[in-house]
Amino acid sequence: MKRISFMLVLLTALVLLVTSCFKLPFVVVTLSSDAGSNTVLAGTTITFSWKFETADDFKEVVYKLHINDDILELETTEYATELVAGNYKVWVEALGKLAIESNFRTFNSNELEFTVGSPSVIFDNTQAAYASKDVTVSWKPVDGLTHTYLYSVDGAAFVETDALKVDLKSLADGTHFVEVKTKEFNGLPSKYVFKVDTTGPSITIFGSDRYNGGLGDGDFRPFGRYIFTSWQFSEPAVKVEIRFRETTEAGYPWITDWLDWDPAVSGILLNDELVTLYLTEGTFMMPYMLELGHTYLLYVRAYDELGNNKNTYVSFKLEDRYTGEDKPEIFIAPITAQPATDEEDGSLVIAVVAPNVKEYIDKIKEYFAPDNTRNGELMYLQNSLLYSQGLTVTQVFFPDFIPDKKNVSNFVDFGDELVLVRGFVNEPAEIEEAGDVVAFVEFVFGPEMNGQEVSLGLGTDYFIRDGANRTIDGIVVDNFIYGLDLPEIVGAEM
Amino acid sequence: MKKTLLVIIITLVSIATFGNELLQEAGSRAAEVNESIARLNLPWRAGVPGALSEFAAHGIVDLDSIIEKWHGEVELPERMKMDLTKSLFVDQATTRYSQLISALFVYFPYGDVHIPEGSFVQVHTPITNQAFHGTCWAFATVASFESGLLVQKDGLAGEEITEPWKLQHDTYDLSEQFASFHNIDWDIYLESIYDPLQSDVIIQDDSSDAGGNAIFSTYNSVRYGLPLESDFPYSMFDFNPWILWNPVNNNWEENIVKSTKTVQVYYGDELSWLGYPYEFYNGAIKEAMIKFGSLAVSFRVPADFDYYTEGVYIPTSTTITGGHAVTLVGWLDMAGLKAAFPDLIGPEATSITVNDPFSGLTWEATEFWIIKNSWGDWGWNGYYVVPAVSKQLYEFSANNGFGISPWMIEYNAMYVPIFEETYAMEDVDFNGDGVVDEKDFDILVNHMYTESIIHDISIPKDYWVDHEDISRFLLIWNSIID
Repeated sequence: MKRISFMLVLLTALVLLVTSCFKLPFVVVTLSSDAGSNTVLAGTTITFSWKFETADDFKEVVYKLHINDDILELETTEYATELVAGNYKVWVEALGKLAIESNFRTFNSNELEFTVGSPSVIFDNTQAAYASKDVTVSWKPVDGLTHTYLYSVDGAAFVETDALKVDLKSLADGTHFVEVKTKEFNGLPSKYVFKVDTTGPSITIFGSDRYNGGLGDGDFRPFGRYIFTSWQFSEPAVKVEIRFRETTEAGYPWITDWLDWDPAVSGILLNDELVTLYLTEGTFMMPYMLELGHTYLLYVRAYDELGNNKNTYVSFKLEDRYTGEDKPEIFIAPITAQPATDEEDGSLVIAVVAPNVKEYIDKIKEYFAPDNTRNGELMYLQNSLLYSQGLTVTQVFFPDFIPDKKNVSNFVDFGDELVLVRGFVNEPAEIEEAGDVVAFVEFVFGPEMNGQEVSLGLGTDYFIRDGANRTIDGIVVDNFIYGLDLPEIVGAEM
Repeated sequence: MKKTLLVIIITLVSIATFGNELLQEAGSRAAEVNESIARLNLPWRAGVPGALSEFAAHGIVDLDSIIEKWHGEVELPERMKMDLTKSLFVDQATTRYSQLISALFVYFPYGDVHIPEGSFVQVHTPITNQAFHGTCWAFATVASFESGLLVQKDGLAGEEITEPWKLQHDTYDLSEQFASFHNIDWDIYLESIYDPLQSDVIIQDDSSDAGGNAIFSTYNSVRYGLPLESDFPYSMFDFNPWILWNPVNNNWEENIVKSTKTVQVYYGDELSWLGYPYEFYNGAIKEAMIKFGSLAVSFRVPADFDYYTEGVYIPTSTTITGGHAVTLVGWLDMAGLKAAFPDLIGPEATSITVNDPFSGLTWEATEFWIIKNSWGDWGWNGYYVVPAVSKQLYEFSANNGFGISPWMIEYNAMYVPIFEETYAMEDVDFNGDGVVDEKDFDILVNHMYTESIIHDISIPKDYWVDHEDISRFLLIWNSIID
């Protein structure tokens, strides 16, 4: 009997279990997303949604959304989020409580696996230009994940690589670019643009020249004592050097080292008397660096910001109607100076000299360049000697200057300017010896001027005329005003 | 044969097409200028310069490139003008500005010639054509040189007429090509003018077609002279950026003519500021023209100038398109102006109102310069007429420091050569002892830098005794000995 009763109870329980409240609830939780694939671009908003499907009577259901180790408790069946780059596993843990139950049962959804990442890379290279034809371009993925990459050079087809760099060889000078993207996230590639520049600036040198008129030879031949030469570069030059050498029968000796030229100055005035060098370390005067009648080479070397450099040269020749040795000049030369004493004025004797002037004027200047500068004989010469206050002209002596002519002379003294006048007349004259001195001028000064600096020089009002009263061109008049220290009495305390 | 014919036809069609393009552009611009002239009621007319046909025939289609060549006068920087006021520059070179200045004679009126009160035209040589080079400065220099020869060597004189072409003489035809070839090297010039280490301006020749200034070419007329045009012909359309060296006679040097010095009539605006009276300045221009010949002058060119055909040129706008050197050959008074342009100037007109767009000033002009251009078939038979600065305007300039505008020739200096050998040798026996000798020389030097009628023997005279008188004395002394 007892056994029968037990069996009945067991049967009833089984029936109850199968038919009603004793049956285990059946639930299906289905998780899905709108990502569309298992690779998702970083920054994309992903919406996860899930379904809780059951025939049982659940009085309460809540969810736990698992995104890797992060758990979000939700009552809704949808969740949108923007995930940072990484590999993800996502599932939903549904917690349901039947109407007759006081505790929650747990139901897990299916699991979604996907990767959030980027096609982009960050290039390691920071230079915009390279002075080499071989350039290695390397990169890192912006998402920090491991990828296979696709790269393209200068727009060519993309090439697959697992490496984080590409070695580019034998690139041509110019602008290049490398595009890289991750293979998995086949989006817009990252682009690195750079310049390959392995050559220095191209240099064009301009200069005073009559060649264009069909007359010159060599590069710059101006038929004159001056050349202004300037240069232009095909790209900005951060460093410029110049150098001079001479062409001689024996060879091409350098006459300067490479000089570090001021890049802000793009030209130089060349002449035989004084060349000014504008160097980075300062301005330097180079007297008599160049000579008339010689042919020189001017080299210019320019460096770009990458250190590439190029140089080129031009030849030039300075000329005039005379050479450096027989240049007709008029200048002043101090002759003697005596300090003043209490008893006697000091004295200063200055000579105005004109070496080579007569010879230059007399010379039949054969065809000089395309110009005709023939003139007649010297008839009139006037110079002004400018002098400081404190000096007084006491005597002017005019030595014979031109032989075989009557030399007439006079002067006008204005107290600070002495006008020296010399005329040459076609009258026979008994002149034993004629020199190059136009005039000797004696100044006197008082004791207060001893040791003082005075200034002396030839003024810009000068007139050099030939027998037709026509200006004679081509004589160098030194109009610099010179400082001269008057002598002091030495040993006066003895 | 067919091929050749085809080439010829294509060439002709091209020229016709391009030519039309050039002339149409000029016509369009001239029409605009005429609209402005009408709006401003100005007494001149614009049109298409006849010379453009020649450019078109050479395949030149860019009107602006022609204008650039036409306006090839380069104005001197301020420092050059200041140099004349004796700023103390020092120099150490062959040909510097100071030496160039030593061949100039700054002219002031002497009062020894009759200046016609009405109109006057000086003798001059026919209209020339600088064509496709910026060589106006050389043409003005040569034109003045040729006129100077007509007046000083041949003794021809101007006349009180109003039609300048009636006093054209073709006795002399000297080489503009040679003058143009001797341009200044502007690079060296500018480097030396602005380089503080260079104390005076360097004058060195260059043959680039880079524009020039008569002050240099007049100096070259002294030191180099000018050969004959037939020995050294002008190259009109060679399309080179430089002037060719092209003597066609190996003996060209034998025919060179040199001037002795150059008379300079100083800048009008600066003379007004320095306090020289109007009559002094106006008289200097007219005397120099009558005594020595037509003057090389220059001005800044307003954009409408190129289309001038007749009348009194007054600019309609302030757009400057370069500089131009021309030759001043005469002047018109109001009666002469009416006779010259009866269609434009009414019989009742007593003056021409000048509304100067540059200065904003309005003034009345009663005297007008006749100017010879070097653009061939252009303007008023090759000439144009422009108002002369009036006394009213000159005095305004003196008091206010402006008023003489860049488009007026008085804005710049004027130049004419002197041929000293053509002048009579004066009696220079100053002490009256019957001989010219050292004593007379000393007397003259002792009068140096003083005013003296007796000792003023320079060519030209100026009442002033200086180097010009002493050197002239020596020339005369030598001539007596010879």
